[in-house]
Amino acid sequence: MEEKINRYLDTIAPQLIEMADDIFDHPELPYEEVRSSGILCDWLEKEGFTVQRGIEELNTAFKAVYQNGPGGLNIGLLCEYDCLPNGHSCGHHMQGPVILGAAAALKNSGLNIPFTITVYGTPAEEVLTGKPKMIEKGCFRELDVALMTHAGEYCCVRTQSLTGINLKVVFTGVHAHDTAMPWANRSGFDAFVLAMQGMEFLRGHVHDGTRLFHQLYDAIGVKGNTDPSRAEGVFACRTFRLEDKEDLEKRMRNILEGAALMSGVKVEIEKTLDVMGTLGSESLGKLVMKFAKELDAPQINENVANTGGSNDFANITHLLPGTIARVATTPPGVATHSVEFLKYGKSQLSHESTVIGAKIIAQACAEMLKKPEILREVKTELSRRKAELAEKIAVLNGNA
Amino acid sequence: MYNAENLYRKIDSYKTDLANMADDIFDHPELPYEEYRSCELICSWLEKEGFTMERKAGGMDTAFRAVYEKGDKGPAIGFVLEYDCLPNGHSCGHHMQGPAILGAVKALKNSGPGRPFKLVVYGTPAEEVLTGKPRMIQAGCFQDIEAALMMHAHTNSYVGTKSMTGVNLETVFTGVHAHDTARPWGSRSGFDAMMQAIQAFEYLRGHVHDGTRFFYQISDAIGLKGNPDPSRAAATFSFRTYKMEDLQDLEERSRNILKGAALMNGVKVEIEKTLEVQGTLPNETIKSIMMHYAQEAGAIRLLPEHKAAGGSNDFGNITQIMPAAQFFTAMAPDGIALHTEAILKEGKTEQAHEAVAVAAKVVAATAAELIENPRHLEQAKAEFTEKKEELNRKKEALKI
Repeated sequence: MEEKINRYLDTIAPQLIEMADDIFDHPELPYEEVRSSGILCDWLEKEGFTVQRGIEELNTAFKAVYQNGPGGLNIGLLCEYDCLPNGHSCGHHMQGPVILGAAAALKNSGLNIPFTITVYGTPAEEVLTGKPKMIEKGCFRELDVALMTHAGEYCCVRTQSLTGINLKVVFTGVHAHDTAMPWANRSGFDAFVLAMQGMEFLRGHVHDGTRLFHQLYDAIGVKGNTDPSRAEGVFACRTFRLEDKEDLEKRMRNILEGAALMSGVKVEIEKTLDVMGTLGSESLGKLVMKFAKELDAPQINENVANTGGSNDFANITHLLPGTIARVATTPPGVATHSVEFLKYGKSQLSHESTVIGAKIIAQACAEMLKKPEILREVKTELSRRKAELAEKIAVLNGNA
Repeated sequence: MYNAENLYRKIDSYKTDLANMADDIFDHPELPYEEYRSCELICSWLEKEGFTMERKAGGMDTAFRAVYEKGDKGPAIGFVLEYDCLPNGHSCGHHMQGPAILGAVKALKNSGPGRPFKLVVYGTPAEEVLTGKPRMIQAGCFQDIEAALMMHAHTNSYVGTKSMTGVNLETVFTGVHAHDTARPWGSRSGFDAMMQAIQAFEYLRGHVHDGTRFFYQISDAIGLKGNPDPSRAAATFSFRTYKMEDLQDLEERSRNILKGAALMNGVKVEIEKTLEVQGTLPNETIKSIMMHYAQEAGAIRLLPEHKAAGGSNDFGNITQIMPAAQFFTAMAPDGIALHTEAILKEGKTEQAHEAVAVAAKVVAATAAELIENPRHLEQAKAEFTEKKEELNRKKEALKI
C-alpha cells in the first residue's frame, strides 16, 4: 500500500465528508444535477485538473484531466450525483467525494510513473441513459481502465447486472363513433391489451430470471370522448443472460408488430433504453477487494449475491475493463431507493466509507501503475469474456 | 303471364308418385357426399323420363347433370336440387327437393310452353357442409344455364332473398416442442398463439358491422400424446355476415389475426380456406314471378318478404353467378325449427306431401314464364348485372 495516499486522504477527509453531506442535502434529479456537478468541477479545478464542464448538450456531465508526465496509463474514475424523487436514496451523493479524493490522492502520491487521471462526471444514472449517451458522444474510449464506487449494504464487487431494453410503443388506430359506427374504428387499445397478453405468454418461454414488465401511459385518445384508437406505453425486459438481449428484443418487437397486425392498427416502436449487463472482471474485482481487506473496510462481503438491478456503468464494462468498488454505508438489509436508506446518507458509517472508498480506489490504481502486468491480465480477461459472449449470441442466432 | 293451369293439372296427376319418392328418400337418409342411393333414385327417374344423364358431374360421385332440350336455341333454365341429410336425418327437408324438381321438369317437358327450351337439372351434394355447389362451380358446372331455380322446405312460404356469406379458415399453429419444465425457454407454443387468436377475434367483434358472426372450434391442442406438448394447435375460425361486400375485408382481417398471433408467439401458421360460402344476391324479377305463381298454386303462409333466418346456404354461390331464386315452401307448422328433432316428425305428413306438389308447380310455372316471355329473362339478367356491379362498387368503397 502507498501510505502517502492513505495519509493524504485522512488529511482531506473532512473536506470530502462535508462535500458528501452538502450534495446529500441538495439532491438533484437526473439531468438536473447542476449544483452537484458544479461543486465537483470547482473542487477539481482548484486541485489543478483541466475541467470541461458539460459535454455537448449534457450540461451536467463533465470531464476533468490531470496528466502526470508524458504517456502512461489513462485511469478513468467515474462518479454519479443524481438522486431519486425521494432524495439520495441510492447514495450517489458520496460518489463524487470518493472519486475526487482518489483522484487527488493519486495526483499527490509522488509516484514516479507517468500516468493520466481522467475523472468523468456522469449524469442521470437512475434513468440509465447518462453513460450510454456519453458513450455515443465518444467519451471513455481513451481510458485504459474505469473505476467507480457505489454506496450500499456491503463492501464488495458485483460481477453481474441486468441487461435489457425499454420499447416505447404507440399503437394508432382509427377513431369512429363507438356506438354509431363501431365497424369503422380500429382500436390501438385492443392492440395494447393483446401485446400485454403476448408478453405474459412470453414469460413461459424464456430463461428463468428474465423480467418482463410494462406500463400504460395513455389510452384516452381524444379526451371527453370515448376513443380507444390510440394507446401508448412502454414494454421492457431485463435479464442477467447478456446473450439473450437481442433475441428478447426481436421477440418483443414481433409481439408488438403482431398485436398491431391483429388489430388493424399502426405501431411505432422507439427503443428508449438499451442497458447492457455488466461484463464482470474478476481480476479487477480481486484487486479492489485485496485493498478493501488491507484497509479493513466495514462490512466486507466477498460472496455477495448479485441483485436484480441494472446500472449504466455496465455499458462501460463492454468497452474497457471496469469495476465498481462498492462500500458499505448502511447496515445489511437496507434496500437502496428506500426511505430507510436515506437515514444513513450522512451516518458515521457513510462518512467512514467515503474515505475508505477513496483509499481503496487510489490504492488499486497505484498498484496498476506500479505493476503493468495486472492491467494486461485484466484486458486479456475482458477479451476472453467478450469472445465467449459473442460465441453464445452466435449459437442463439444459429450462426455458430 | 304464362297460363300455368296445364302444368298444375299435370303435377296433380302424379303428385302421389312425388310424395312416395320423398318418403323413400326421407326413410333412407344419407349424409353429405354419401347420398348414393338418393342420387341414383333421382337419376334413374330422370333417365326414364328421357333426360340425357351425366352422372358424377364435376367429378363428384353424388352430383349429376340431366338435360332435356326441346327445339333449338331456347333459353336454358337450370333446376337445382339437394338430397343430403343431417346426422339426425332429413331435418332440413332436402328429401322433398328431388321429387319437387322432378315434378316440375316432367310437367314442363310434357305440358310446357310451346317455344323451344332447354331444361338442365343439377343434383348437388353436400349442402349441409356448404361445399357441394362451390366445388361444382369450380369444376365448371352451371355455365350452361341462364337462370337457376330451386325449392327448399320451410315452415313459411317465401322467396329467399338473403343468406349469410363467410369463410372457414382451418388453421394450424406449429411451434417448437421442448421439455416444459427443463427447457421452457426452448419451446414455442402453438396453443398460446391459438388463445391469442381467439382473444383477438373477440376484440374484432367490437369493430365490425352488426350481425357479423364469429365462431371457432378447436380441433387439436394436444401435440404429442402422453406428454405435455402445446407446440401444435389446430382450430377452425369462421365468420358469417349478411353484408356481402364485407367478405374479403373480413377474410383479410381474420388472416391478419392468425398471422399476427403466430408472429407474436414465434410459431408458424398454416391457413387453409375450407369454406367460402356466398350470400344470396336476390333477384326481384324472378321473385315477383315466383310470388305470382305461389299465390296461384295456393302456397300456404306465403310471406311477401324473406324474414332473415341467420343461416347460409350454398345456393348463395349460384346467385352470385346468374339470376336465381329459391322458393321456400311451408311444409310444417310455423315455429318449428329446421335441423331439429321436431321437424323430423313433419317430414312425411300430408302437409309435406302437398308442399312437394306446390313447390313443383311454382318452380315449373316460373320456368315456363321465363321461357315464354324472353323479356322477363332479359330483365332478370339485367338486374343480376346491375346488382353485381353495385356489390363490386361497395367492395371497392371499403378499400379506400
